[in-house]
Amino acid sequence: MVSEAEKIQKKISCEHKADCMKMVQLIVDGQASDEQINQFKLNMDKCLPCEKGYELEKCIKETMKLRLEKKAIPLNLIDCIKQKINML
Amino acid sequence: MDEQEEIKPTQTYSDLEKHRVFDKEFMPHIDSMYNFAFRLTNDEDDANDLVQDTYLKAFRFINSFSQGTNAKAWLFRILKNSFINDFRKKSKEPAKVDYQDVETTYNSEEDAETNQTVDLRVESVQDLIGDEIANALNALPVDFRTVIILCDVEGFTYEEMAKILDIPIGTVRSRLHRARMLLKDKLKSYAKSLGYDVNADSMAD
Repeated sequence: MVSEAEKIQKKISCEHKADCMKMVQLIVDGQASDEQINQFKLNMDKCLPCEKGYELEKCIKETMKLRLEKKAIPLNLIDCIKQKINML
Repeated sequence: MDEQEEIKPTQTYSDLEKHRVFDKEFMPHIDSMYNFAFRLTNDEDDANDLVQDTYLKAFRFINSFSQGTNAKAWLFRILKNSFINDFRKKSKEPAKVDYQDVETTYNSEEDAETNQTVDLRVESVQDLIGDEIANALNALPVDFRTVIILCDVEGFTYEEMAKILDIPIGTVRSRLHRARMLLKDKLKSYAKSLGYDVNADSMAD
């Protein structure tokens, strides 16, 4: 956990933003290696745009997963499929 | 792998085995399949038809499915192909920007990177309700919507997505990157229209 005092010392602009945001994507999608994750964590502790970028991407991903309405399947869908395959 | 390969038999199941594999391996994914179909078509009746077509096709070509392999990805692939081949033209989905148009808009990685949305706040996203999230997702062209659903909602890996969509992993990564930028733009518009201060505490650039 980084203290508020330390946070103030963080970079407020990122010169590698495009590359960092690609890394953020790999990390939130669980596609980054342990080494990439550790390296990015070190970077994130020093870079405010990277930290905020990571938090935003993670939040959007969780939002899509948890808050998008799950439609219930129509009541007769399973029966309909079963009937049709039994006729094949 | 195109549809021809999809239907290439790799073993021969007895009738009893076919039904057992169908019930055990395919049917547990029907909720995800219906939701994917609904997100693609934006219409409950079309989603119903698309799922039925997919399951019938899966049963007809069940000999090309090997037990123990990824049934969900196999089914999603068939559904996606059925959607492209049979449903996309007659879909009730309102006219949307063609994928190629969007590709042109975000013509290169470099352009895409410079267009990144930086002033959407976590708090604004957290305040949006499910309908607003769904509307933002539905506003994306279908190819971009698809990668977000596969990755964020269904949790497929890039490798699985590459197989489902018949595209290289690098294209999965870049399409997802672009899709998320477009999604952030849509979410920002919603947040702004609802009066959230999207620029406050913006990400420094």
